[in-house]
Amino acid sequence: MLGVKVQRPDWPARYALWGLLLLALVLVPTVIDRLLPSFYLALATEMLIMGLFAMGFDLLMGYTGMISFGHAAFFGMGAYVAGLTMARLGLPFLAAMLLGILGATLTAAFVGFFAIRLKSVYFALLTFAFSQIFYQLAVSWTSFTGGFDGIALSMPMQIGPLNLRDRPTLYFFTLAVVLACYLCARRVVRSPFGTVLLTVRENELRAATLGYHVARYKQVAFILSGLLSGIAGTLMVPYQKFISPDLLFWELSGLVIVMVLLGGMGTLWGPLVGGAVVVFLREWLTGVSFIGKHSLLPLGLIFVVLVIFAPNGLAGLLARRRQPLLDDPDAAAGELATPRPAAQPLDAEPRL
Amino acid sequence: MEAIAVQALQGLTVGTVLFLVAAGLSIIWGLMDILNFSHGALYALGAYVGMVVVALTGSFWLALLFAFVIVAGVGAALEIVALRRLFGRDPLYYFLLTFGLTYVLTEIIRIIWGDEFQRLAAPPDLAGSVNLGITFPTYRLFVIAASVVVAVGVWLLLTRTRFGLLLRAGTQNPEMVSVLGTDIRTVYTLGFALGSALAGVAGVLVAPLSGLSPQMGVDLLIQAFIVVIIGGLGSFRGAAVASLLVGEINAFGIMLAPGYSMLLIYAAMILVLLLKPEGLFVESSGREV
Repeated sequence: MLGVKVQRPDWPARYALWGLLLLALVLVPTVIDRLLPSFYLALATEMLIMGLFAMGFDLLMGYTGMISFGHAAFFGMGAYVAGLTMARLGLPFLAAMLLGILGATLTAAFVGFFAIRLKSVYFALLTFAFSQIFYQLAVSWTSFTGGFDGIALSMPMQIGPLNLRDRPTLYFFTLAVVLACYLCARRVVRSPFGTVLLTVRENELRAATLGYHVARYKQVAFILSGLLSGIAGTLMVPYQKFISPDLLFWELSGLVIVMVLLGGMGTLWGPLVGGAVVVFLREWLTGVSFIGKHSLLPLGLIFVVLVIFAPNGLAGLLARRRQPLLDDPDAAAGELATPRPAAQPLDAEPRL
Repeated sequence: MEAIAVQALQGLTVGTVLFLVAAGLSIIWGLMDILNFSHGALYALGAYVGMVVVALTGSFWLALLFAFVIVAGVGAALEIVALRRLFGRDPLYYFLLTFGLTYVLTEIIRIIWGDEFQRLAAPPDLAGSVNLGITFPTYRLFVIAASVVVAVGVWLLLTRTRFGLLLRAGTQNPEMVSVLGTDIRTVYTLGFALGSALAGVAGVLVAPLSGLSPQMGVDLLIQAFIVVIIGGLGSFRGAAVASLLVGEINAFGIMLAPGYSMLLIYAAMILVLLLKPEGLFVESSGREV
């Protein structure tokens, strides 16, 4: 698996690419300010947030092969803990954000503890059930969470001198957080730990036979994935300025799978792009009169086509052309994520 | 006392309809390892087809029949066009694919019939209520009876006909069915169509009670998932017991702790998944009819 060699562009070219990309991202607010309504800056921020969410999910789906159907739980938990501590306890944003991240991480540790015991569809259903419990709590515990309507957050959102109610400031703050998360996640998946995760994905039995404590690796991957999703969730607080049960709903859990599939699982940057593309597509399609009202139709069709024909997404298509993008050998590893023949989820599978 | 009896009957109504939906899910899972997320959308489609047929012909019976046939056709088409291409991959990919199909089907329903909430009147013969010691809407009793009739019909189809034999054989050992000269792919297509059709019929039955909206399948689908998990994925009998259980828990939960009854059901689902993921009503070792 690691024998895949990608012809890398040499050093300066690599850094030039990185530099250009960074420059482009930094220039986004200026360009939008000149050419487009300021709404697009908010859209760019949301693209970054959802990209981060998808990247966090990729850590689980792409690197361990476990597909959760309840990842909105951690995203929403981050948002709810951050939002509620601000609204109910009057904490400043930074403290609320840290607590939100902590809340999401602990939730992931709790859910992961149970979920990693199951596989395939059963794993998906268990994570789904847990996330729906959080959703139901958010909906039913009206006095605390605001129920269906959620809670509007009208307090100031400052971190030191940064006023996050200012759109460009929020964009740069989000960009910095997302970049930091990307670099950390990349460090993790390229570490020996990440290599073991890939081994677990490709052949769990072999990993266990080699002496790795598979369950522990899965658990840590689950927690890290929840942590990143939680960070993305807390970013929704200054972005949306309200929290609502939508952030915990299973539709979001499904949508994040679409993002990862579209971008290409197991590549980190692929889902980052995938998340941004899905958010953009949704918004853009909404602008087109007929399709706008039915933007889920093309989105659903894209999803269907992807699952059938390109389960490795955009990154997989790029890797197939052997065009190394940036310096990411994982783009090529995406090819290895080709679905394997059906593994029986349980020994004694009940039948009709 | 009367309130309890009424709730119990309400629960029974929900439970029997839930069973039709869950039985369809269960047949499809047992036969093809597909956890069909688009089942809820097919249920909604059935309801809308029923509404159109009633508007055109005025006959509720024809509505049930057409919902069955048309939704079966749509199911067969989905299987042939999309699902078949995933053959041999991890079952999870089916789940993802049907999730995408749900978006597509729901949007098509929205395009044709719009977003507004719509109503379908119960057939005039079944309007009003009857006195069984307690007064209870006639139509709800009809729903219970009709669901039982359909369920028994499917049971007979599975156990007494050649098609049922092939379905069960395909569930147990698809290679052997192929080797013995039956095209297993046709069996898959028909099995998927049958499961879908059950959802379609359930949709028509529920429409006069709940009204129609493009999203009407979502909540019911989630409950049906819970039913097949508790009853055991792929088990017909398990689905029967579990759907009545979930129907009653829901009915009494609404009475005792409104808003929190679903929590209880999700908790039950988690417990079953962790302790006995093959379901409560399935022998761990054997395969069940």
